[in-house]
Amino acid sequence: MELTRDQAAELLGAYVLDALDPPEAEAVEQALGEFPDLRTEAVRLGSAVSALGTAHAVAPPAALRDRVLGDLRPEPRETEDPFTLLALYRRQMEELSTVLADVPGAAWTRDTAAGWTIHELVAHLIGVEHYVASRFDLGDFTPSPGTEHDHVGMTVPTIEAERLRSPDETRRAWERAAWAVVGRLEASGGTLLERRIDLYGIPTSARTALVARMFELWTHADDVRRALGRPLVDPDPERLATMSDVAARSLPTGMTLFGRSRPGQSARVVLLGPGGGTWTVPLAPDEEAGPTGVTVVSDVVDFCRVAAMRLDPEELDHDVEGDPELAADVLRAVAIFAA
Amino acid sequence: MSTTVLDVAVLERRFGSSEAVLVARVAAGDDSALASLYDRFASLVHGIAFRVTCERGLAEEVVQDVFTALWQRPGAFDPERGSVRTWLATLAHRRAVDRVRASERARRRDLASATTDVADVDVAAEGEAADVSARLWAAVDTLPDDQRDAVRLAYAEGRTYREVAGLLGIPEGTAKSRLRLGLRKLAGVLGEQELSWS
Repeated sequence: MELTRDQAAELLGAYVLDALDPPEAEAVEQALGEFPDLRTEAVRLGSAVSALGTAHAVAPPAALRDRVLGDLRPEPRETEDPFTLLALYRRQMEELSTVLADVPGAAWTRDTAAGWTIHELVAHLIGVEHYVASRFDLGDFTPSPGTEHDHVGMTVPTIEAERLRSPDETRRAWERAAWAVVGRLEASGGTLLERRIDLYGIPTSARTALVARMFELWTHADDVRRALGRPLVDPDPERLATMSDVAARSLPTGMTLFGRSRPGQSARVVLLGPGGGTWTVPLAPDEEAGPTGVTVVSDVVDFCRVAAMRLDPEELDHDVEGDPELAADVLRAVAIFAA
Repeated sequence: MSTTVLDVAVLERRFGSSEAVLVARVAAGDDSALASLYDRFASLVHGIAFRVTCERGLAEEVVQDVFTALWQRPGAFDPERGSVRTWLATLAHRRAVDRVRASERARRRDLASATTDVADVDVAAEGEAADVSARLWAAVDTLPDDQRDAVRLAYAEGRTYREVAGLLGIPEGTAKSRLRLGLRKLAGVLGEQELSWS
């Protein structure tokens, strides 16, 4: 059924009063998409209809509340299968690779928020790839004494060696190293991702380690964009969902590292936007979630930027219900994730 | 610390209202936000549903329908088309009409009794919004008889415009235009109301 503008206009009153048959209502909706002035009128007439309803407020029986809300519970989150996770990780590598392929020759010496030039940053990532490969027994990498748990320090020799090469060679060396590791993880049929590995002295599930690396590559891609004066890019919702999940679940560890664990208490973290979600997490490791002391609400991308230490917790737009000091601790603990 | 108040204001600014923040939280799977919206709007939804269905059981089913829809499809809320209150009231009316039409048991009340329910209303609980609504109902009474009857039949009894035409013995085209004209006048009253607030 298709309506002319005038036919649709005639039906607007009946439409906002739900006094049309379904095919007519559908045809009007289609017309509203085509004619913005009709849409404006429909909104205006609709607000009168809804205002009429406000006079009729009558509290429903108290028992209805539990019946309605009891049926509506969050579905448990599904964990991605290893291949989905690896595909998301690959997407992140490819994104960084694309950004790097586009760095003008003279820009490689520009400073980044990571504290290195773009060239040095990529060299650092080569070191990280070698270290991560060694964690999965896929290669040898022996950090200099004293840097075994130092994410930055252990890559200094690599950075120094790469300075002697051209940025283009360094970029290609990173690609070779990164693609080799992900290829081996894929070739394992996912079994390598079921392992627990020691990452910088912290026993971590391999999946979490991979997501942490996704964070790292996203953040450094943005570092390069920033250095080039280009706009930042938000990860797609699938990657955000994976990253926000790991960032939220790392809170108990973060609280401990930060020296602020709160045994017996939980925080509720609500992250808004595609790829967000809701988590109730204990504020001390190895605990069941206890009573919620605080709810922190923020945009999911902003929250991930805090976790990546590219947004100061103090500057995060967020909403707090409950203890504001606990909320501040929670956000500082989130930022420890990257450190 | 005063950060709580400050921070709430920040997200409210981003989303336009505290209710819109709650809908965004529902979209993130936050069931406590759903409970907050229930506490704010269940009376509104239930009242509209009861007025249209005239049946407790059906009205409660509508409440269930509306909050289930809110939980499952929070993305259907479009801030450009009005407030959360407007959206839920619209949804409540639509679902109530659906239920009435689907229910063979539904008994219709006659046109004359259509306004008596307003007396049962818990107007005080809704504050300013109810005040506007009461004035709007007063405005309904000042509509020309033909428009008033058409609007009441469609709004309060969930009649289609064809049924309105049949009941009032007028052509369908006339029923359509009476509904539109009547609502235009009411929207005008609402517009003046908003101007007088600001």
